[in-house]
Amino acid sequence: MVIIDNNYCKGCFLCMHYCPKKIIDKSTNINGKGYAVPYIANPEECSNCKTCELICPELAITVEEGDN
Amino acid sequence: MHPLGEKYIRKGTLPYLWCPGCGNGIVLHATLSALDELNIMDRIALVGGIGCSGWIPTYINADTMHVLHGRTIPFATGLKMSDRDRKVVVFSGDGDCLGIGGNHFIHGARRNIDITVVMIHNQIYGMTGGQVAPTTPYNGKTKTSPYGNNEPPFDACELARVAGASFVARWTTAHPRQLSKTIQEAISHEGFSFIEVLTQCPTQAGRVLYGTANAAKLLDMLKESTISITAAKNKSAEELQGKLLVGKLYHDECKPEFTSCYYRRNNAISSL
Ligand SMILES: Cc1ncc(C[n+]2csc(CCOP(=O)(O)OP(=O)(O)O)c2C)c(N)n1
Ligand code: SF4
Ligand code: SF4
Ligand code: SF4
Ligand SMILES: [Mg+2]
Repeated sequence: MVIIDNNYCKGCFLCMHYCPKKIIDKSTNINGKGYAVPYIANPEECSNCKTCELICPELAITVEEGDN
Repeated sequence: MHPLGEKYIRKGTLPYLWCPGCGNGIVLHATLSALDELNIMDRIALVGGIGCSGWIPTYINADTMHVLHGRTIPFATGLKMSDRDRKVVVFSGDGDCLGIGGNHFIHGARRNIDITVVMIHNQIYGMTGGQVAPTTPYNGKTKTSPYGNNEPPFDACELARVAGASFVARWTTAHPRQLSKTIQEAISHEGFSFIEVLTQCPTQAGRVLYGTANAAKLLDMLKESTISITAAKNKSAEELQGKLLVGKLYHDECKPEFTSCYYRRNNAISSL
């Protein structure tokens, strides 16, 4: 399960770019700091590979074991 | 926030001062994983210089020092000499480490003192506004080389090795898993360990050197400019043209380490 903490996200979209399944997308949400934040568009396709978690420069993503 | 952040980050200092997409946060995350795996938060000391990258230790709830520009290695040396059981890790920008601090760098390596230096290589002076660094590519256009850089860059890994470092590695921020493992290994190694991390700096290097502030594009470029040392073994010279080797480049476990030699000699003298 992928959890994105919008409070810390800076909208760089490295997570979206490097997700091998291409299931992360831009949302229309803007966080308190004014950044557009991503969301998991197709959570059921996630392989829990943790690439998004490791590439996020803000420690904003956590990938937990188990389904979305 | 990620559990490693919950566990180790000084929450009151957030958000990081880094620009969106900056590689420094990836290095920070890789470092936290390494420290967590080694379980040595209580005997670590982290030293940062001046520059964007020098802020990495300041966010970590551990013993940290934020010191003068270029003087990370002298502070780390003093710390290690006075507190031998500490593992000392330095975070230094390419300007900090090779420019103003270049002399300290070569002598730290020559002594083979047991400290780990993580050099954040973003090809530029980021914090001060995008000036040319000793790592800026030849011909590279920066704020202080608007018609192209006349100077060729240092190969920091080669420099560390010939100066005497006993552990030398290079990764990019596109290799966060490998970077974290190498930081672990470097900290465990007894001697001067040097890790060069090529990072994306969208705001300065990105805009002035590459004409884009797109972090993903810059990180792709970094990744494509490298090849792992294991994959390179089966490639021809032509295939390796223009590629930078990443991985563990050099490791010598037998070289005498400065602090132990110093204390051994001192003990021998005082028992005369
Ligand atoms: C003695 C001294 N000289 C110059 C400066 C100005 N200064 C601050 S950071 C910096 C360079 C930063 O570049 P780098 O070390 O590569 O770090 P980066 O910001 O790129 O991570 C300079 C020249 C200073 N703070 N102190
Ligand atoms: S864990 Fe892997 S597959 Fe799932 S969202 Fe993150 S990068 Fe994509
Ligand atoms: S990588 Fe992190 S900071 Fe960047 S958009 Fe994704 S969640 Fe936000
Ligand atoms: S100027 Fe460059 S190195 Fe400094 S925080 Fe911004 S992106 Fe990172
Ligand atoms: Mg720099």
